[in-house]
Amino acid sequence: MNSVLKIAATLLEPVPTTVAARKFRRLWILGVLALLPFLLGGCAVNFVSSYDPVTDAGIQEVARKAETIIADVLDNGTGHAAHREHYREARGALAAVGLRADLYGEKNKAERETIARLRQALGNLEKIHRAAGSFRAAEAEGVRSLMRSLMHHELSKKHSTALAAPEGAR
Amino acid sequence: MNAEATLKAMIEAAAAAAKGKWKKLKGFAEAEFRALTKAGRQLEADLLADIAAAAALTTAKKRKAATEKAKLRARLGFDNLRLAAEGVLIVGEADVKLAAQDAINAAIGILRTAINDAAGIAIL
Repeated sequence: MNSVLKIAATLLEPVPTTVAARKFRRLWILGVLALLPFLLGGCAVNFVSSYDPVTDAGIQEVARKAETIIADVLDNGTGHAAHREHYREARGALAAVGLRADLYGEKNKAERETIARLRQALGNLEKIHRAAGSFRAAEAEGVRSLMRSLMHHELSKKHSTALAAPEGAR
Repeated sequence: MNAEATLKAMIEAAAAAAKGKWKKLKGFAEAEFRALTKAGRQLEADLLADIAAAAALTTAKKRKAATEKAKLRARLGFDNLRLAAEGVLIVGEADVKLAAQDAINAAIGILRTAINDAAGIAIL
């Protein structure tokens, strides 16, 4: 109770005499009141869903599987038949990551939409591979870029989660 | 609680959080768009080379099949670059939200500490 009274006393100090001081005081009180719901809620604001290590690991796995195909085709010109199973595994891993990402709802929109694009891009790459017997680096660049985007997003989320955590938990 | 010093610290913490995120986002987006532009130029060159090679084939049937294949590759390749560019923008937009989130949370952290210090115990 004493603590609450102390805070109340801070906010209810005598009204300053100068116009600038009064303006500052009003701004300060408004700022504190605006942030009070978050503080009393004991939590941080959350515009984007929090970092999920399982999703991050899933994305790394998809990247590893996709790179297994891309590196082999670019280095050795390996045909589609030799990688049919790898494509299937990559698609499965990506679908699993997509399911996990969906659980976080609207706040995870960026991740879900990027995963959907990666799924489409991987499908396109497989079509090229099947039709041409191989593919070129420029044709694989879209898939690689989408994987980098997803990894970048995961790192940003991870960093953001660390910032939002209370000091003792970092 | 020193209101002026706390407000100043809150603004500084928020600005630092947003600035760090913005710098990372800018570097990432620039590098990705550079890579996608380079790939786009390469796809265009590959398409022209493939069509030229198709034109040199002996039968009309082979020429037609090779041209169709070259166009399919280019169409799918460009579609992938479009998807990737959209991916960069989507992630960029989310990063801007994260920057705002970080800025507000940094300010809240400073205010929380100031209130706890003023109260003498960790009430928040």
